[in-house]
Amino acid sequence: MATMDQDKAGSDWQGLLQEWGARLLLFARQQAADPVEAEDIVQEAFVRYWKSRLDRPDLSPPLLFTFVRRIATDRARQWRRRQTGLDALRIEVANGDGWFEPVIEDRERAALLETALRSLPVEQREVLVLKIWAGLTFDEIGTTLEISPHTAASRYRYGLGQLRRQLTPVLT
Amino acid sequence: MKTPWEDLENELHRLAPKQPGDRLATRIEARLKATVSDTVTGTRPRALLKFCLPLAAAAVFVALLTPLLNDPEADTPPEEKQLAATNTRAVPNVARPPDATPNPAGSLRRVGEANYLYGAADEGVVYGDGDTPYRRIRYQFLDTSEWQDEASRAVVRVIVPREDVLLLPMNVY
Repeated sequence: MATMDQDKAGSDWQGLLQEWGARLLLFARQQAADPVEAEDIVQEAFVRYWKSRLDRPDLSPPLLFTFVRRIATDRARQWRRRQTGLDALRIEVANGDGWFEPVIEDRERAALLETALRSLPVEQREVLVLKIWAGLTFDEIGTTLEISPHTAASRYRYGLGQLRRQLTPVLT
Repeated sequence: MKTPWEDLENELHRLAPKQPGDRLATRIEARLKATVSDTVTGTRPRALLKFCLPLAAAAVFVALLTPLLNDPEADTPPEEKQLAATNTRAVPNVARPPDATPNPAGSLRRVGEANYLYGAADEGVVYGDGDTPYRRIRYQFLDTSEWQDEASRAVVRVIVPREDVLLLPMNVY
């Protein structure tokens, strides 16, 4: 019985990672200095979430984003000095590593979208990521980012507005 | 009713976030396995570190001391020893010269020994004592030894897989 439970748990986490991994990584990249650190954060968040879920099976997967956010905040606090020195490197690494799967059609347009998204302030970017790719509601986004749902909705509108302003001259 | 952002939202939706690589799944699996074994044995990482680290340190100390005590070239000048140590680190898997130690059980004699590193995996960051982060690296070795029967000259090779887990403390600024 224990073996069966362990097997089930084993396959369950893989399914969960398959379903949420890409979105978690994208969200972690909004918080992290580089892709490697983003992966470290996702790993830590996933393991903590999974351990918590063993005691409380009712924990919903969107809580994973809260774990990512908290771990990223803790790490940023610990490594602030180091991070500020790595700003230039961060940009270089980010440029060399896309956030999205390569698209077959209209690559140029996709690249423009990604570049515009990267240029947004992090507060707007993280809301956009949680809304569009993670599929969270503004209430859930508010809980994850510890802001009110109203603030989340405003940041979302501002973010989209800024994206449109950047893209309109290029794409039309 | 169409919102002013709908076209842009649809366009963004078409971008698929990049999937994490297999490396992440491997690292998570390793961490979860470690968690399960901690749960089964009832130990906690901090307790493990508290008791295992001194034991590991003692084992390393003994391992370092033993060759010194048995070193036939104990009188070698320090400069030559340093050079030899540097060269040995550069080629970690060099087979030791055959020794003539007879097997106490019979006529088998050890004629060769080599350790092969065939895998190394970065398992990510773990937290040991409090908030101290460590990067955990897992090395996989094959330890081989060759034994020869003195009568028939037949050679037997024994291969034993071994895993070493190294916790490298990370600097926190």
